[in-house]
Amino acid sequence: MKLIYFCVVSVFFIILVLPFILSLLLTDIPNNFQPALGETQLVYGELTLKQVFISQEDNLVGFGLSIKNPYLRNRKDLIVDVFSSNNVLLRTLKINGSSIPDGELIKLRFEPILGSKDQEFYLEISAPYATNEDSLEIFITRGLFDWGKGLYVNDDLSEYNISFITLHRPPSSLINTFQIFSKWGSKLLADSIFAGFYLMSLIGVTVYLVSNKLKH
Amino acid sequence: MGITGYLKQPFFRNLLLLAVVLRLLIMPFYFHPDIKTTNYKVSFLKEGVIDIYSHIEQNLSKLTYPEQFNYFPVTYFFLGSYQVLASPFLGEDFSDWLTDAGQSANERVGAYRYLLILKLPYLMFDIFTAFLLMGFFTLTEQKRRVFTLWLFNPLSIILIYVFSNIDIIPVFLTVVSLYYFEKNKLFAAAVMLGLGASFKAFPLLLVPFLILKAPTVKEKIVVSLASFGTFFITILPVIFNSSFHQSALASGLTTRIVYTGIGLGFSENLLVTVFMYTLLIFIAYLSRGIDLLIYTLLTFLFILSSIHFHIQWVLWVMPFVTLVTFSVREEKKVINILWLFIISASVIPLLYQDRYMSTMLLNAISPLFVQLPTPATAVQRIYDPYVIQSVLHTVLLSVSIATAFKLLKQRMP
Repeated sequence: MKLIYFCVVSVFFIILVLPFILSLLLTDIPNNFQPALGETQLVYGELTLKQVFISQEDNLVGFGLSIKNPYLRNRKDLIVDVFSSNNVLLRTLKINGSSIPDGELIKLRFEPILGSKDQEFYLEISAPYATNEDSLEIFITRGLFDWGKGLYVNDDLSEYNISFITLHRPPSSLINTFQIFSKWGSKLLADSIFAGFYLMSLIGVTVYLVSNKLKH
Repeated sequence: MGITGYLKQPFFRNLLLLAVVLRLLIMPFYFHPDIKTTNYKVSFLKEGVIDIYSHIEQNLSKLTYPEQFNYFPVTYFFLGSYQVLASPFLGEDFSDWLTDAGQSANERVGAYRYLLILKLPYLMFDIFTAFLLMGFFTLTEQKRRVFTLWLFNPLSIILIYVFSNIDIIPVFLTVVSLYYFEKNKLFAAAVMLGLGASFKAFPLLLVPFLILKAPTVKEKIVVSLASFGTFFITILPVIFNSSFHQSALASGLTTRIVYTGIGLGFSENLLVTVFMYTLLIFIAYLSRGIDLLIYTLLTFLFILSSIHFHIQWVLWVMPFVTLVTFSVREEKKVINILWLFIISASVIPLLYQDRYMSTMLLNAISPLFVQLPTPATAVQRIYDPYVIQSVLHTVLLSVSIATAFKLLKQRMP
């Protein structure tokens, strides 16, 4: 009997407690999935990028973007400035090329920008000390998407956008956890026939077992 | 007594229902990409593709998952046929989910249905294993205990339904082989090992023990032919196919068994796994009789101790440790060490720098869990995870040797 109880507790831990604990550990939530990684845009010397975007959530705390840096060839600073739509510098970040692994999603974090929801911002990305030989390459994607509203390469509008996500701090961990669990439930119920059959089977068997009181 | 006989008894019926409920709770919500990539490749059977190895090689640039099919043909036909049978329940959008390699694929409506249905064959073999394990015992109390231990062991539930690989099928066939061995039906035991190997190669490691058990040269030849022959028949249609050689024959155990070595100089190595395995065979040759259960157990303990393994390989040893647990011959101390071995071995893959060994397994519940660091990254802040893995492997190897010494001592002449 001890083993059965242990197994039941373990399964409930795996299916409920573990997602609960892990969701409490989530601090910065991405606004969406990263758009497709297609081509890349060089950034070095005088060549700077300006990415216009709309923050879809409140408490903007950073960005995630992918950068090509084969064999960590770039070991110079990449500067990322965040401006409001009326050109006020809000945040500045500096990251050294030596800590940019090739092609991985890099997360750049800063102090939260309150009231960011539905506001327009732009990112200015530059690498003034890099040259053509050790330039970084930012992954870009063709066309606009919900939050990417245009990429300027040295003030020339491109047909691409940086393939990036924005990061936001949830108002509280518990609210975030509740949202994860409610989305999980909605996703299950969205497949109504399956959900009905699945839940009815589980409930039916459980009722049968409880009514038998597992005497044996 | 058959399965229906057991199911007439409330004890077995109720426990089985509870075990199924617990499994159903996990099946739709945990996701490992292997189940998707494998099912993507076997889905070509629906389109009439017979030679999956050449098909993948010829269409590599067009495929969503441009990697070779690493399993043997029987796996392709078995899972492919199941997919055909299950297709009315999977629905029309299933193909879209299979071909969606994006991060948001599990956000699709229907993902939970797909995961549950694709794992149902594993549930079937899992339950068959529980009933089969009872066949090794005569006393009702022992049957009840082994049935309960198999069905309510959280580790086997995690290995089968969270990591969702096909290993439970060859594991079941290996247990069938042991069952026939115990009944002294060596031919049937050999065929079962060959059949198991046609899903994954590891059951072939046990064939030498069967050959040693066969009393006459003629029977030894029959056993060899039955096991290797069954395996070769299943791979015969693709045996000269170079794509098959590069993918199925050159993956997993078939190559890793010769990885671990102590350098002898001049590019030569003393192969640790091969050494331990052949040592077992020679001990079996010199011993009074062949206890296949013990040699199976020790073979897998040595494999897990000395090879960089996938977590699902831990499942290989589980039914045999379950059987040994209720064997009257073994001491409690040995049994405790075996379970401790299994738990420690399961920790090693969690330290691999692979998100799908930890946080990403919850991707179907929420893709946000990708944000969390892996256990390897978390441990890295304190100590090098590779050193921990190496220490664990070394300790497991010592435990395996000590266990082998204890178990084999009484079986030596």
